[in-house]
Amino acid sequence: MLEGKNVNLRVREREDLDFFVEHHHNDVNFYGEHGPVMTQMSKTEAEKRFENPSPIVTVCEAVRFVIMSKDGTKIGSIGHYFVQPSKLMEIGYDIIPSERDKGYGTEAVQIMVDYLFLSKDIVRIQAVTNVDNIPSQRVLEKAGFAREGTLRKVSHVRQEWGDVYVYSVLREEWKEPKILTKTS
Amino acid sequence: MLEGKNVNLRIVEKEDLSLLHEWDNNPDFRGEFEQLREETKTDLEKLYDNLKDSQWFFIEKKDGTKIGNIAHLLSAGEVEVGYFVVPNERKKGYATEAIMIMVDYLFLSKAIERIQAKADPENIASCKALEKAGFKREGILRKTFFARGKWKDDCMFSILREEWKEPKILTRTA
Repeated sequence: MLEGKNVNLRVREREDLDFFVEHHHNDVNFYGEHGPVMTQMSKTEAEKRFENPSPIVTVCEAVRFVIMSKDGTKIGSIGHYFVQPSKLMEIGYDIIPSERDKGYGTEAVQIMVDYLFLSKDIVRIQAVTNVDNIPSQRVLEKAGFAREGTLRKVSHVRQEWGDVYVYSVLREEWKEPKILTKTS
Repeated sequence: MLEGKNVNLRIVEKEDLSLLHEWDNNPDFRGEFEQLREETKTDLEKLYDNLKDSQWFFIEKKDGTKIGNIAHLLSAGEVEVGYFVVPNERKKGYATEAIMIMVDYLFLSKAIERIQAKADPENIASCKALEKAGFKREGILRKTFFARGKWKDDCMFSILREEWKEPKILTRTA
């Protein structure tokens, strides 16, 4: 488990599937007005996918973590994966609606960035956000990411093709861990 | 179970994996010389189910408390050992004894001439455990593994059957 000041990150296990089914899949408003509507999912289907991930999960080496507050409550998720075939490390994150605006997203991203630069020989981590999703952009900016540019009409959200901003942080800017500072 | 003076080695059963999982996923527990990794229980189970020639053992104190783990595995055709002791039981000689028991076991049960182990040259405690267990330094593998944000060297150690000569701890089986 990766421990921060106000949140911890733990890899997703089978016991967490209920949380994902309830929030990410079955709440049509989970990702908000600027986010996608995910397919509804039964627990059985979720378990099937957990046992037998699609080839994309394997090729992209996708790993998802649960974000927990210090008392153990699950409040969101954050994942890392390679955008292929260019093998670019990208992260994606979310916080349940009732726990937003408290800085949890920013800290989760900072912990993940520390973890990725410490455990993998990569020089860049990127993230994308819908151009209207201001809170998500703030998370990245506070976590040290720089906005690089706009990808036009890549995101199909609620009947429209929308633009996204690309952000990145480089190892040479990050320099050293901000949160995962204890090592022994 | 392999019995020593102050520790025993007990093979890891599937039911014990949750303890190993807890140890593996705790960066402070593993310490500054270990790679940061976060694995799911399923990942660990998959590894366990595919051990083939490798074996995992718990290091237990005589009262049964599990204080670490030691394994042997095939690394590019060579028999290699790896070990870990929980932070609050270090500096008590447990790793050295666990390594010696494992060496006795491997030379007694396999027709091999050599057992190797690798340790970060900056990990003085780990290098000392190997040397006290009779291993000799062979050389440095430069920038061979990525841990905690840097490429690190590893030091190769080995012990030969002709140096070991006879069991030091598993003497009742000889």
